Amino acid sequence: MPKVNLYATFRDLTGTSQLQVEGRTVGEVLANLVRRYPQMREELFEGEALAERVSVFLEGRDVRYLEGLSTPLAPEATLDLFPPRWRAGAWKGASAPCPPGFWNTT
Amino acid sequence: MLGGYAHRIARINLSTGQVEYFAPDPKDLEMYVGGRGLGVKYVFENGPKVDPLSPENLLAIMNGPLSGTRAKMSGRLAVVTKSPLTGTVTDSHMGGWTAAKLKWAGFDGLLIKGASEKPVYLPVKDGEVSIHDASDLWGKTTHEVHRLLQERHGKEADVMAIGPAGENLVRFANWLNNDERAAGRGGTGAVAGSKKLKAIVVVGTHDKMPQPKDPELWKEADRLASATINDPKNVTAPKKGGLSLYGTNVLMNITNVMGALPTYNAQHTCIEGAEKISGEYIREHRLIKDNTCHACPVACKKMVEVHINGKTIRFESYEYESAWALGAHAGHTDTDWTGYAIYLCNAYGMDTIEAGNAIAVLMEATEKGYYQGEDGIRFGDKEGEIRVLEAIAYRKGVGDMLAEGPARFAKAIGHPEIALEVKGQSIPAYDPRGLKGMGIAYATSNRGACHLRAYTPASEILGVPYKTDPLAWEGKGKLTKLFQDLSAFTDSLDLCKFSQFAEGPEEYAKQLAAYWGRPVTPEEILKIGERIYNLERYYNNLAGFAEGSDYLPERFLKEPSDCAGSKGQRTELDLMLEEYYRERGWEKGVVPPAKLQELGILSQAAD
Repeated sequence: MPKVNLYATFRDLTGTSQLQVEGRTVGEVLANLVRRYPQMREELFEGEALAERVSVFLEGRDVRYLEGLSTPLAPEATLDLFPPRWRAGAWKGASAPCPPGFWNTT
Repeated sequence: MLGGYAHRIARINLSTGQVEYFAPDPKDLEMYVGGRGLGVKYVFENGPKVDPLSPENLLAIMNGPLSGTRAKMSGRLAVVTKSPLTGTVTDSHMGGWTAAKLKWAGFDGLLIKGASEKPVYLPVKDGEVSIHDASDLWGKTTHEVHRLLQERHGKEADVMAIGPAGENLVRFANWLNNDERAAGRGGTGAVAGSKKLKAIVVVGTHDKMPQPKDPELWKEADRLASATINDPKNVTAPKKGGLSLYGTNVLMNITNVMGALPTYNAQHTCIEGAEKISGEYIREHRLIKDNTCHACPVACKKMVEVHINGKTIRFESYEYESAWALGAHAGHTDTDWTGYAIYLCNAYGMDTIEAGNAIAVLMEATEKGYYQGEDGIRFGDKEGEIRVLEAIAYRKGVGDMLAEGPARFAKAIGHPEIALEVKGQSIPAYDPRGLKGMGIAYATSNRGACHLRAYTPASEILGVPYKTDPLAWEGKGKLTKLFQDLSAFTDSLDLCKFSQFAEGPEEYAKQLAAYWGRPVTPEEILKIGERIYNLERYYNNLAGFAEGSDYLPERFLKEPSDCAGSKGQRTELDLMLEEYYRERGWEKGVVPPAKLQELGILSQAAD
C-alpha cells in the first residue's frame, strides 16, 4: 500500500506525519486520504483537479510533471505532500511591464 | 523633496577622527533609491580597484526610504562594501530594528572610511555620530558586546557588532545585531575589523518615524500589501503560513525530497534524517518563541534551545541555510550539534553559510587525503566541526587557512575543484542539479554564489510569480534577470526578501509613491533594479571580472545527482548563460557602453 508523508501544516490538519493509503494512482490515494481526513479536501483539490498551490511529489518529482492525478503508483510507492505555499494571483500587478504571455512562460 | 528620508548621511573617517554630514543628491535618490542601490553608488564612486582590507575601502551602512516606516517587512539594513572574500562589490542585509532606529536617529546611512589605530565604536544619536574607544570590547564575542553596550547606552539602544572573526580578518566575518540578525555574507565584518571598528550603537525612537507624503495613497498601498501578506492561503500569513510557523527552515524537507539539498559537500543531493534539522522538527521539539523584526507580522524568526553536554543554549535562529551548512553539508543531521554550531558562528561573528562550506571542504579534503594535517576532520564529526569553527575564528592551525575562505583553501592544497564557489563565495543550500534556476542565479550573481540575488525557488518550488519545472533550464535566464532586478530594487527600499512571496512590483511601486510623494510605476521600479544590477556588474568588470567570471563549480556540470527527484541531472549552465546574456544585453558577462548609457549610468559616472 502506498506510503504518504505529510509536512508542515498538513501535520497539524491530520495529526500525523506518515500514513499508508490505498490507491493505484495519485488521484485514488488523495481521494482516499480526503475520505479519512475531510479537512484535507480544500487543501488538495480545486473541484476535481489537483489544487494549483499544493505540491505532491512522487519519488521527488512533482506529479504535475508526470501524469498528474492519473500517475500510476506501485504498492511500495511513497508520496510526499507539502501544503499550499503561495497566494493565487500574487504579483498580479507585475504583468504590466512584461511582454504578453510572459507570466505564463515556463 | 522626496519623502521617506532623513536627508542626512554621515561621512566618518576613522584615520583622522573627522565626521562630516551631507544630504544625498536627489538625483541619486531617484536613480538608486537608498539601501543597496545608494550604497553601491557610493562604493562605485570610491573606486573598484581598492584593496578591500585597506583603509581606502568604503563601508556603507544604509537604510532605505521605507526603513523605519509602517511599511510591512521594512526592517532591513544594508551593509555595502568591496568584499574581501570575492573582490566584487557586495551587499548584505540584517533584520531586526537597526535600520529603523538608524532612520529615527536621523540618518539614511553611514559612510565609513580610513582605519583607527585603536579599537573604536560609533554611537549614533539625534543626527550626530561620535567615535568612542572600544579597547575594552576588543576580543569579545558579539553577544558580550551587545550586552555591554546596552548596559552603557540603555536597553533601547540597538547594537551591531563584529566578533573575534572580524577582528582577525576572517574573510567571511559578519555583523550581528542584538536581535541576532546577521548581515551575513561577503565578509563585511572583516572590513570593519580592518578599520578597528568593533560596533555601532544606534539610539532612535519611533516618534521620529517618517510620514508618507501622500497619506491617502499610503492607506491604499498599505491595505494592498497587508491583504496579500496576511492572506491565510499565503506562506507569509501570520500564524498560518509555512514561513510564519516554521521559519525559513520549512524548506529543509522539501529540498531533501526533491534531491535539491547539497550534502557531503554536494557529493550527494539529499541526506537520511533531514527531518531532524527541519523546521517541522524544530517547532515541535526546540522552539521557545517566535520573534520578529520591525513592522513585520510574519515573525519567521525562531528562538530555540539546544542541549550540549548537559548545557542548555538559547539562541536565534535555526535558519534553513545555517542548518543545512553546519548540518547536512557536513554530513550529519544532529539537531543539537547543528544548533550549537550556529550559535558559535553567531558568537564569533562568522557567516554560517561560508563557515559550513569551509567545514565541508575540509572534510572532503581530509577523506580524500588532500589535506593530511592532524586537525583534519571527516564528514559527520560534530565535535571536530566545533573545534574547527573556533580555529577559524581565531586563525589557529588549519583554521588560519580556512579563514581565507574555502576557495582559497582548496586552491592552496591543490584541489580547487572541491570548493563549491563562484567568484570566491560559496554556494548556499540549493543544489542547481535539482533546481536549475539556482545554477544561472549563482553563476551570474554579482556578489558570488548567492540565493538572494535571484530567488528562483520562489518559482520552482513555491510557484511565484508563476510555476516552473525545477528540472527545466529553458526560461531560467529570463526568470533570473527578473528576480535580480526586482530584488535589487526591494533591497534598496529596504524591504525583506520574503515580501516577494506575497508582494509584487505593483505593491512596491504604490508604497514608494506614497512616501516619495510622486507617481511611481511598476515599470520604473524594475528599471531602477536593472540600473543597480548593471552598476554592480560594471563595478565588477572594472575590478577585473571579465568574460568567464560567470561559472559554476564543475561538480554541478559533470557529476550527476544521485538522489530521487533529480537523479542523473547535471546543470546546463552554457545554455542558460546564453539566454541570460541575451536578456541582459551583455556581452559575455560584460556590460557594454550602450547599456550603461541606456540606464543613465555612464553619463552620470562621467559627470
